[in-house]
Amino acid sequence: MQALRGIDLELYAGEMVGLLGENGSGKTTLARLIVGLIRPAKGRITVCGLDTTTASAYELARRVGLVFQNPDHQIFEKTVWNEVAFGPRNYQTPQKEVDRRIEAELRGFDLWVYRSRLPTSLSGGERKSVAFASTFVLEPSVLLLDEPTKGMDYGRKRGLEKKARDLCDAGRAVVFITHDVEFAFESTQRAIVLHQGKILFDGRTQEVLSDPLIEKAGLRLPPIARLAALLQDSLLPQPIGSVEELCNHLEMLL
Amino acid sequence: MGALAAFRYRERDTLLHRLDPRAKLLLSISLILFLWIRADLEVILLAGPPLILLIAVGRLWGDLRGSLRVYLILGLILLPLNSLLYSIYAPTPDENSVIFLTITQKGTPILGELFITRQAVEFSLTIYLRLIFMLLTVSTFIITTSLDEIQALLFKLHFPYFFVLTMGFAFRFMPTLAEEAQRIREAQMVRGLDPNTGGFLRRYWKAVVPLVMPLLVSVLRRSVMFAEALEVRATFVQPRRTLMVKPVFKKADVAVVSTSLAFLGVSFVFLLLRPIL
Repeated sequence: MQALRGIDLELYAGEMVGLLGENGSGKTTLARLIVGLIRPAKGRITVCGLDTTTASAYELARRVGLVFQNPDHQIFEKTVWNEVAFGPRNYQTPQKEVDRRIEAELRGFDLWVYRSRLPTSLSGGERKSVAFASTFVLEPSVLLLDEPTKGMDYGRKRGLEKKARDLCDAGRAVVFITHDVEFAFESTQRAIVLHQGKILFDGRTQEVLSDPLIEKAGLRLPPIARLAALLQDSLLPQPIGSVEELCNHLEMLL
Repeated sequence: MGALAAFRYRERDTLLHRLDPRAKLLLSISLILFLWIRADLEVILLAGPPLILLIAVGRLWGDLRGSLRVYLILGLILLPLNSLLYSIYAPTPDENSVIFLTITQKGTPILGELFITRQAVEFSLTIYLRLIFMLLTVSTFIITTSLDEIQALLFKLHFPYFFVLTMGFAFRFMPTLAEEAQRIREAQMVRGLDPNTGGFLRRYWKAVVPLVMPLLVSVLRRSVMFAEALEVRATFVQPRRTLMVKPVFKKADVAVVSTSLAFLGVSFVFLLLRPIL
């Protein structure tokens, strides 16, 4: 069975990308291909100069990180601190450097107070944050987050967005693999929509996610885009990208 | 993984698949008893044709191919080893024994007299074939009988409802567990875990803690959730329940049961003729 067909894609440093599509469209398969967990039957994937068909997952993990949907698939240590330290220790990173990075990540994800707690005793959203921190701590150039907002409250979602933005400003690429169209609409600059293993759309998020054709890929237009689409024909001259933009146009009209 | 196909149910429309699970179970038990009762090569070989017939009727060759390869490798290891061990512990060969091989060093037999006799080879072959035939019998039953049918069979045999249902759940969740284990392995690999490097202890440590712990936690979490989901649907309130698959005896089943009983009778006669080995 072919999960993906004819994918031709480039990710650039500093990009925040939303990878969207219905269930079974090939999003997770694409992520697993990029991190080298599976090999493509045809074609080539290069990550920071490394060919994923020849490089091992160990070599690739330094350059590209993947946070899985379910944080319980990776948590095993006795404390949050040790859980986050697992990755850098696999690469024999000097202890001082490990400590510095862990502190930065734990503070960044509001986990500092839980550093001595048993990770499995935390709530679902907090465990998800532990999973993010334990991948971000490796400082990979490309970060793939599979369903990162699932089970997270609004505050943690915004915290994640801010953290991802900081990473993009530092020249890293972040890819959100998600069904959360609203989050992608508000947070990412580029959206890629997969449908039955093929790329249906690839472009500016506001344009892509305002196009009613995305419903073909099992996605629903975000509320602001739906509202703008309803008003557009009679009142608004162009696609609307945010609530603020819509308010400005309406103010001008009123 | 191909070898495991011999122990997984495959949906197919064959006479063997359509048989009542009770008839299939009796047939399997009679074959296994027949194989167990005597350790003579001639007797064991007698079980070959019916077994081949069953495999052909159920169109099971494709499913058994992987396991047959494993059994062949097992035979290449077990047969010489067993023959040698039998020769060591068997009495010194008499004039009727045919010695295939004598292991010597500079003309002197080492470890006393180390030899492999024809009897040893025959005995090893008998034990090996008995094991393989038994495994093939079990495979034939498992490949052709669905979990629902096995559950229905156990209900009919008056096993407790709680036991049958719990056993069914355990089997149903096996593929989920395998998938989960794979996900956990991948989740650790993308954090730089390299399970294929380092010495034995290091590799063991790498495999056991980061892979088994999350699996254990996940299994416990899932079990609790699943148990609660069963309780809210009043699963164990009634001591018995109706069956989705109701086994019904047909003509073919009667024929299979008769053949199985005949096989059991033959086994009993063999048992009377010579003691169990």
